[in-house]
Amino acid sequence: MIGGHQSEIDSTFQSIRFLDEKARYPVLFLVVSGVFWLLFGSLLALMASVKMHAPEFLGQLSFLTFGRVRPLHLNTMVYGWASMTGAGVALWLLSRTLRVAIPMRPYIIGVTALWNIALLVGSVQILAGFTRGIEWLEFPVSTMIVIVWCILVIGIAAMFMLFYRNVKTLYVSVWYIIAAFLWLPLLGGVSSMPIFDTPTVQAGMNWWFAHNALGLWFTPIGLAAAYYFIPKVIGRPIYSYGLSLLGFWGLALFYNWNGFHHLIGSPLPTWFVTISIAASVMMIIPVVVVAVNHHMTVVGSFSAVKHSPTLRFVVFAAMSYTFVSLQGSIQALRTTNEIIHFTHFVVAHAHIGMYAFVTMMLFGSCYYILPRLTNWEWQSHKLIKAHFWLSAIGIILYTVPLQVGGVLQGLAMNNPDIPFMDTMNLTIPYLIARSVAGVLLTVGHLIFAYLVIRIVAKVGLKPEIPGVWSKKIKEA
Amino acid sequence: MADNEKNQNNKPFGDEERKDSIFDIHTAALREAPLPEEGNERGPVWMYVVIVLTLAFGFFYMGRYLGEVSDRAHVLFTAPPGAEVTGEVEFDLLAEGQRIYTRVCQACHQANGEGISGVFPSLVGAEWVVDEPDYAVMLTINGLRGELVRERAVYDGVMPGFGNQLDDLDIAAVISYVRSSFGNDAGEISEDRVAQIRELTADKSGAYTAETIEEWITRIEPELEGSAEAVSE
Amino acid sequence: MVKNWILLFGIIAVFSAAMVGLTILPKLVVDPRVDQVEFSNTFEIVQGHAIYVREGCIYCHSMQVRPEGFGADFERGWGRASEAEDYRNLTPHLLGTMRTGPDLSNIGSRQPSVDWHLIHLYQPRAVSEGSIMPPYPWLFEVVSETARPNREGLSLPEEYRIPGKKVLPTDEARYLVAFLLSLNQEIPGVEN
Repeated sequence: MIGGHQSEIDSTFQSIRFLDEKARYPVLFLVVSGVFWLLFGSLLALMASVKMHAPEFLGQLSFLTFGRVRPLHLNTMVYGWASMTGAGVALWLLSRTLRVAIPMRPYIIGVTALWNIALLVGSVQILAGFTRGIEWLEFPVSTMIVIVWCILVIGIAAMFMLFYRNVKTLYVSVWYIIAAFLWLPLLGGVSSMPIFDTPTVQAGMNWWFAHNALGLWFTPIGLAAAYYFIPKVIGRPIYSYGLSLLGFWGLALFYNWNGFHHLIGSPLPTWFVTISIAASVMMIIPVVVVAVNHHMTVVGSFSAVKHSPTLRFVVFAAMSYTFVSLQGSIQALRTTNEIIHFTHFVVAHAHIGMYAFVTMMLFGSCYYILPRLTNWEWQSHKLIKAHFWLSAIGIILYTVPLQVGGVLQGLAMNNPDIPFMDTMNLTIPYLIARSVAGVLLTVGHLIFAYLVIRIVAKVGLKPEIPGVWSKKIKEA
Repeated sequence: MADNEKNQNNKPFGDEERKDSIFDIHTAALREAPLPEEGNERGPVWMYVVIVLTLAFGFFYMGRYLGEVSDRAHVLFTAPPGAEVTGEVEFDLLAEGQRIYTRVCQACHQANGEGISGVFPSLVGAEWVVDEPDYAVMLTINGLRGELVRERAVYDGVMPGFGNQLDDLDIAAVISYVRSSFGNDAGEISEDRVAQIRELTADKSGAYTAETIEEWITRIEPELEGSAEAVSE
Repeated sequence: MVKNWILLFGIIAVFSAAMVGLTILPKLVVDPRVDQVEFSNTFEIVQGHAIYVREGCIYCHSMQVRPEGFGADFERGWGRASEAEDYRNLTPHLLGTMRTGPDLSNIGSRQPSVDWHLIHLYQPRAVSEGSIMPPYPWLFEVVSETARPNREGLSLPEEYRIPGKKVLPTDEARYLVAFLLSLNQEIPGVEN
């Protein structure tokens, strides 16, 4: 695997100091851009959430109607915050695990700027009503192609790193990241092709893309981060190389076929839907394997989450991944889907995936990476703790009530004796709870943004010791 | 290009980096532990049991629910046999009427039948529903438009006709339901009556107005047999 | 893993298989069926579809009826199960995955009243108490009562009337209603 400790403190081109120095500007630019879109997306989220129980709120303005704010929230969070920060984290992880500096740095900075412009243009387009109208793909095709092209350029840099690496064996994180950088441009390319001109077929492509944007882009980056940071922070080896292999190829084999379980009962030919449901169930295999692998690595050192902000976020995210994936497998079955399809349950499920797993993982990664890139320290331990608890409690308060409400909504919807209006009315308290949770999450994001600005601008004194919560642990 | 990149990257620290103290360079590494090499455990037995069971379930599921390899949707939900028979046995005119009311009438005339004053007329105690249901049958088939004064409010909207969508039994059911709900207390309308009216007004195209419906009713009244209300036994 | 090509080949291969299986194959299976049907899409319907997309109606309204025996769509009177031919071949597709509001596959036959639709779009709570649908006032113009004497304003309930003004639907509102009224699986392209 990776060479001995010696090379890490070696002051040559393979030393971590050198690698981090080279990674500084491209990765920081990606992360800071991501944080900007996180704040923008949070604002839209709050607006959309309030509109669900107060429909007259900002209701007179065409560009702030629910049907435009909600898709823009999704798109800025997905293609702005999570993709940009995720790409930055992935590049940094590759640089560390392959022991090679990030190449094409000016190009990466250039495409990140272009990516930001594309997101800005796309935001105006959606608010002005020029949406493509396909969920998860609301940006017009031209805008989407620019974003995919930006990720492709960053992916080319990743391929150079793979081919000019300074290690022999590829660490498990590398497999996931390389796969992610190949899969997303392919997904984006296929979904932008003008061949899906029949509504039903387009719906199939739609949900295949949407599910796999999570499954083949964010999930691999999130798992790569977990595979790197868990052993790195607690100083224990990953439990099993064999299980890593099984988990990776299991995900590659089964996740691709997911997606049509969003269309159970739709006019798509039944056998495609059945295949997709079976693939969703098969996802239990890689998920359980990865969960065992992570759990057996952490077990015994669990108290480390008390001392390390990174580990706390990462472990929370890894546990969420196991939970949300197993929940997803059960959800895909026709019996459960009959109840929860078309309800808020699915919205909550998507947020466990994108927030409790992906976003928390990215937060944890940022808490580790940023001090190394800036050569500065986090300014406040208290604020980091506050951010963690706001995010963790916020997402639990978001998802648990909304899933309960979703099940009740689904049961009511399947009972023809209950008027349809009542199926909507009974969800209102849960929707209000979501708005409250949204406020908590947004406050957490503001704290995070404040900390990021402080560390990037190097405000304040450089602390004497790294921002660990305990000196026992070599981590910040 | 790649080669250039690589050489550039692999160049040792340039002059400006040499200014960093040895201490600085080393703190970066010393503050973190190296990434340990992976172990190679086998994993617990239950995990393999889960894997085998999942595979077995997955393939069973595909085999059981694949249906057929064709372009047909909803393959697993072909009409359940015997459904029609039980439907006939338990047919309840008013329950059927309520279903139709909820589906096509409720949006305008509201769940309580009172409509919205000045927008959609009330059905509660309405003359054309309770006292002279032939009107209700006619305007349900063809629709009604133009000015209408009821309960001191003026209505000037368009009610679409439902003659294409609802058959005679449906119309009888829904009007019977309205006549016996929302505080109304009148009897059922028979399917035959609706059929007769439909036949007699077959020439009428488009919606009635308050005047033309009167004209039509005087024209067809002599030809209608019996009273509007079905004889309830 | 040591070898690049195992990794790269494996990644591309698993993706390509699923891509063919879940996008190309459905296209080959479903497209010929839809191509057989003639759709009489008028200008109003096509424009209305675009407005439906623009305002994001899909985020609260599905347009797919599940088959009888799966959910209660049939029992609610939403019609028979949807088929691939029911969508007038208008893209983007509007199947939707959310039912904050009711399914609209058959709205044209369930609620054929133009008046109702216009009032409902202008102010949903005027005709549907407790609704959480947003209003769409920009599809309407509010003009003085005396302006445009040949056009009738919407007949709104008392509390939503504006004194001395009348509310006129714009072309966009009428296109959208035309599209909604075209949603009718009772007159399908293909009998099932």
